Amino acid sequence: MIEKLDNARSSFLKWATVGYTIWFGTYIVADPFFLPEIPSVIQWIRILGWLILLVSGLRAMKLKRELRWDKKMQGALEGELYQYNLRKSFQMGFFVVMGVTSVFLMLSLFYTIPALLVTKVILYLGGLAVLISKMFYNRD
Amino acid sequence: MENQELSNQIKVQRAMKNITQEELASHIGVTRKTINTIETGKFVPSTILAIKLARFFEIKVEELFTLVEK
Repeated sequence: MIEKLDNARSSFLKWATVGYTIWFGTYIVADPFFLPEIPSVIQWIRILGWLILLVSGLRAMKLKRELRWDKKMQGALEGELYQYNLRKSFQMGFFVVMGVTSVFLMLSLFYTIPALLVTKVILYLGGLAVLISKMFYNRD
Repeated sequence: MENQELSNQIKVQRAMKNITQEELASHIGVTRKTINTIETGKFVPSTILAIKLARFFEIKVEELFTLVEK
């Protein structure tokens, strides 16, 4: 049962990463800095990404609710390896955010970049770094 | 300290008891990945987990885990 739930968790983490990449990615691709008008195909892709992310989120919430009633299972699934990997993933996200911010800071010396685009890119890459590194550390 | 690493006898002890990583994980209350990463030396367990493992195999912690020179 522990194995089954652990595999399910790995699966929806992968799908959450795909959903986040697509959904948030469209906000950067379709930023007014690049495209003055959002093509309808991007809007459809955005909805698709959002749906994938929503389903993954609902699955994660369902698992969380199931674990609330089973402390032994919760202890196994959210054990020390899980906590250790989670910390390392957030650490990776922090380094990426710091790195990307530094790059934008240097670029701002030569170019004018819209603050909204910069914020979106930092958030996007920071979140993506956490999700991808979580998948990486979670592998066998 | 940096030129030392933690070695363990989990694989040997498992073989002696004839149990899989999954069965051991289930007895200890962790995931199979946790056992796998400890066994391969990728993850250093907490003292609590090390004691649980040693108790399961009915040996001392220092028999299960030893510091070796790299």
